[in-house]
Amino acid sequence: MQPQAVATFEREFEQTIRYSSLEGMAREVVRTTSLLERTNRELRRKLRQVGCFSSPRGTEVAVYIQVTRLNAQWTKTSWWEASHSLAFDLLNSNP
Amino acid sequence: MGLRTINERINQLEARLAHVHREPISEVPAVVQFDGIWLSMQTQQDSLYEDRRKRKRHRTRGKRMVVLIALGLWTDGSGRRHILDWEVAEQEDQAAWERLVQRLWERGVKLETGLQAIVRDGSEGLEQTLDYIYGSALVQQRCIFHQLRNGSRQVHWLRSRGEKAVLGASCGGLSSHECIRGTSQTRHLRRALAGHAATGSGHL
Repeated sequence: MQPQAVATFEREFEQTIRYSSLEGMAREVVRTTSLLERTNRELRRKLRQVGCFSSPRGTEVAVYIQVTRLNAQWTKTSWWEASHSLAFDLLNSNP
Repeated sequence: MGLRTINERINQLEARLAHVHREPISEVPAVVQFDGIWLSMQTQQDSLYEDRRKRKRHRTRGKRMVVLIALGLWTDGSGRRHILDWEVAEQEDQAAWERLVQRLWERGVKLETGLQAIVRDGSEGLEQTLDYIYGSALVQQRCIFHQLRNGSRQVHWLRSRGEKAVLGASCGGLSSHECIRGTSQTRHLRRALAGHAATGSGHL
């Protein structure tokens, strides 16, 4: 095998195996960013429907809505409840 | 829904966003994962042009933006997770990561409040930011998958038949095609590196 491959693997090697020193923690959660990659895929799936954003503000808001949706999904809250609480928050902040 | 209504909603939500980014995080997760996703955006330029109906329009240009995301994970067996914060930036550099990590720190994601480890990819800006804000006391785990994938990319450079045969032999007698291609490449590389570590040889 080429030395570059080994050199790449050896770079930050100590930080790669740091999870083994963590006691009482699920290794599946700590070893990789797989859960976040999965989340990113969910976000990308929705944001791809927009195609191309026209402004940073619009992007921020679209990401916010999708993050709210995902967080609600993980806490077993229905999107109906989550979106209504968001609407009430908006009413309270902009009466 | 009309364009004006959409703009009104965006303006309302933007005001709410500022509040969301400042809200204190009362339940701090044990693990936080950091990564970014890239999106396309259209930006207006100063120069004008005339369209078919002779209307003056700003020229537009496409550019890529990155959304940096912090995902919190609880390791109490509940499998709970929550997106803590995010930052829309032009590039994945130290300044952008610093804005996100600093905000998390200010909102209460600290070692004293229950944070134990963070998981990240090989982004240098993120590493420097975490060292700067949290110091050496924080456990930083480099994502194994990213590490192995980067190593696998180097393996793609093997082109000659002899090199591929050597790789195949070091990966447990599998064919070079199986080693280099496909989703299982990281597994084969891991196996090869485990063998390398066991034998203690200089080169594989």
